[in-house]
Amino acid sequence: MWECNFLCTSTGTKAGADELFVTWALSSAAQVDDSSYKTVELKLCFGVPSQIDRPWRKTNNVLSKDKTCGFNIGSPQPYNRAGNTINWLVRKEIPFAHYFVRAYVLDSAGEKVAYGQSSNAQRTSNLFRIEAISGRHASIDIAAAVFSAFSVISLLGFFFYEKTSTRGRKA
Amino acid sequence: MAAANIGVVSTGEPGSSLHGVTGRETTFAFSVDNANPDAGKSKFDLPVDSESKAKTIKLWSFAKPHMRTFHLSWISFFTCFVSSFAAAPLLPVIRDNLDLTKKDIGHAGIASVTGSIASRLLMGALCDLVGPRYGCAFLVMLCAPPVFLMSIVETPIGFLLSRFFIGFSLATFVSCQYWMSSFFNAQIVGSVNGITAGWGNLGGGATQLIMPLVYDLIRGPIGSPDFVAWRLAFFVPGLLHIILALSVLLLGQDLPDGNFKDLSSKGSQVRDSLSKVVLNAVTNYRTWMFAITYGYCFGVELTMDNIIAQYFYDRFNLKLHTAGIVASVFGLANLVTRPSGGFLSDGAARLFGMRGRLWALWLVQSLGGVCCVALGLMGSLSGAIVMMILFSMFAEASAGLTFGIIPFISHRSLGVISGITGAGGTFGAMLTQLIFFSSSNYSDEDGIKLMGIMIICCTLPVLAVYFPQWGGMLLPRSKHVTEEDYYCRDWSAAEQDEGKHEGTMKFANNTKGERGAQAKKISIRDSPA
Repeated sequence: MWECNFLCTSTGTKAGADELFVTWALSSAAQVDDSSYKTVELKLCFGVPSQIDRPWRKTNNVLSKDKTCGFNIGSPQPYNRAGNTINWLVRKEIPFAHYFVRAYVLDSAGEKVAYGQSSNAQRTSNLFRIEAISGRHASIDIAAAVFSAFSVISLLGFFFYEKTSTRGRKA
Repeated sequence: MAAANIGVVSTGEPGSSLHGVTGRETTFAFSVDNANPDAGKSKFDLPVDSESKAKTIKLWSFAKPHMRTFHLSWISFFTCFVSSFAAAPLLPVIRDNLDLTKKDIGHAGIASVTGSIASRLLMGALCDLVGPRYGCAFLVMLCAPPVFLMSIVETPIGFLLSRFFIGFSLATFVSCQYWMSSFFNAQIVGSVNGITAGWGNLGGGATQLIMPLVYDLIRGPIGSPDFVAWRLAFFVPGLLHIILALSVLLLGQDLPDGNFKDLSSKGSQVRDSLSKVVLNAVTNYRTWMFAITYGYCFGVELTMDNIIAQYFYDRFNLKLHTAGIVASVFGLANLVTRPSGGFLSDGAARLFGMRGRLWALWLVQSLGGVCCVALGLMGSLSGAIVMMILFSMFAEASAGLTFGIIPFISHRSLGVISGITGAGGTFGAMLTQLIFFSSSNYSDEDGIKLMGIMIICCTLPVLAVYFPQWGGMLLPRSKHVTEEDYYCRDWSAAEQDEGKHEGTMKFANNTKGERGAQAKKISIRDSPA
């Protein structure tokens, strides 16, 4: 019913640096009454490979309990038959995973009335990777090394100082 | 008045590092000290006995050396609990940054408590060798690098290794108890050790508040991305380790009169054989009964410290710092719950003797299991919070109740039995996390329900505990066995001929109060003056 296309690079999209290019439109093959369709929300969703053994990302058919789609792509857009596109800078808090894009259509009351997604229905094909930031910086590495060295050296220093000062006193 | 064998300067008697854990080690008065006119004249802030151990405690004081040592000791133990469980409230962020699976998280949680099983057993020997001041400082300082390492890990293995090595620091429990036993008289060392154990365990709760708070500060006002903020947050426990270790080295001392290296130690102990003491401990079935049950009160407490914040975040969709606040209540309850268990045990004993202690432990710990099952069943946030609080009260009181019974299992092997019980506690934590919280076989709420059922089952061993001189839960005492008979069974006939059991005989006489209210009808001889 829907088509959702995107552009991806073979090395994975980099969080904080790259952009996701999303296009959506009502499929020409669809015969639906779209008079109630008002807004479209685009969401970044976890593909099955990234849900395995991670119950906090579990899919649930009850939408209020569903945790598949954790991130919004841009703000909600008004619906129109011909569709729209969006260029979205991938935010830094997006974790490493295999994703697909889902578009929910809302009516004027904000209820979800239709959707489409870029993967197949089982969420296993046509997924793309996002490479997250590691969160490490050279400054953190250096600070950790310095404090660790300080802790070991100060301890040994104390120990040997007190040992030699006792020896000196006894001599 | 002098205490006989608690914390006497480094003679390495087996299990001596755990003397004072229970506070029921015998106190004997030596008449020679009464003749000493200088006894009791104290250059210290607190009244002391002839070994310079304080006879009272002033919680608000930091005076040298007793109260200063008290505070250094419990704060270092508290800090180690903070760092050992610091990852737990931040798991929702860490699991995304490191792409962890539920198995990875479970294994890291297991690793965080496993290291301490061995380190607690080794810590006693370390304290005997170099003194509790260096023992504590060594451990706290050397566990600082793993905390800093946590800031730079990128893989599940790195995360697990970091938690494993940080977990070694939980052995400060031993240095804390050893240190307190050297500074406080036997009459009050039980309460002192109960307070320090409880306030140390507080760290497991405090960390659920501290870490999300620091994380939010770094994320918000300072504006770092999430995956940087949690790494920076770990510098707080790391720096605390360094500050505490330096404080212990600069401000602490091994004994009220000075440090080990400055004093010549004059121990006049009967040196006992390590192998006989250990054999005596492991062949007493009661040791193992309580090792199992302690695993399902203290062990379950450690498990909860690891999983509860994530549970509230995932099941009730709370924000990270809100989940942390709710989770912290569990550990913070230790302020009063653990000591209360001790008071309850003593109260039950006054009325019903040892049978009362056993019944109290079984009832309270089983009720804890029921509350745990209820916690898993609760679908509403307020219901879950109420059940969690009730569960914390029962589980933590059970830990206090357990150590109300341990000292009566054996006199000769008390230290080793306390050590085995403590190790059983961390073993229970490891086992519970392995079975219920490291695979996707069970959801967390099912895991909690099943953990509750396991608590009820693993509390049943208390029913099997029978003291012939006092009875058990279901059976009354056998009339022909006295306390002396029971305790002197620890010594062979040859050893009794040598008179090695005399200390035990005096101890046995002092335990006649465990017969319960009817003990008032029996005249108890005073300890020889």
